[in-house]
Amino acid sequence: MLVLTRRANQSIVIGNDVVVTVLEVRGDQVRLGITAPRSIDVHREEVFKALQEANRDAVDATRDALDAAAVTDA
Amino acid sequence: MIDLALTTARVAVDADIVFPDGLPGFPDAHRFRVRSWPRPDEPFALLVDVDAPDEVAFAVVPATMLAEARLDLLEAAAAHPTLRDLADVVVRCIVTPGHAPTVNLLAPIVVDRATGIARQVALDGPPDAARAPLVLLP
Repeated sequence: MLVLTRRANQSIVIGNDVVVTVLEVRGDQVRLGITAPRSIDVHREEVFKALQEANRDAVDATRDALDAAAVTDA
Repeated sequence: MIDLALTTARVAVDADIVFPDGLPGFPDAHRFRVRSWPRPDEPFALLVDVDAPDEVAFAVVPATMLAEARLDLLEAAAAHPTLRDLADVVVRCIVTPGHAPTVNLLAPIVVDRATGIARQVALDGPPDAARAPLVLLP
């Protein structure tokens, strides 16, 4: 992992067009501003993990429902 | 907030929609075909992965049919890579079928009908909104 030290109002640049700026540091919380093209998804990690799990569960449940319907039709 | 009832656009059955970046949990699933499910007269539909039709399919329902949908279309549209005209927006929510079915209100699928480009857009909200009870409007 690359580790960088930044202060408030300082930024890092990722690639050519993603800029992450430290807006505020207060206690154990950091506010970040992110500038990125619309084509790039930006998620909080816990939200992204929740979406991954929810999508996998949805696909599994849908497959089960389709399999059950196929058995009923047969 | 825009009234979801204004979003009357639909994606035709058998049309293909493309997720350029895949979906969370399915980064390699890009091209999906819209199928009616379980019957053509019902609001649900299937999005079937064209490259893995036996493995990946999502059941979806129009956001307009949901009692609890409170989606900010402007926020959703702003996060979409190609959407320019709200008249072309189609919003579907992923359903998890079962005895107690749930619906993902946190991250709807936003489709630009003009281009067929889709994205699952994460809105502001708690992670458990990804598993809200499914309640259809009467």
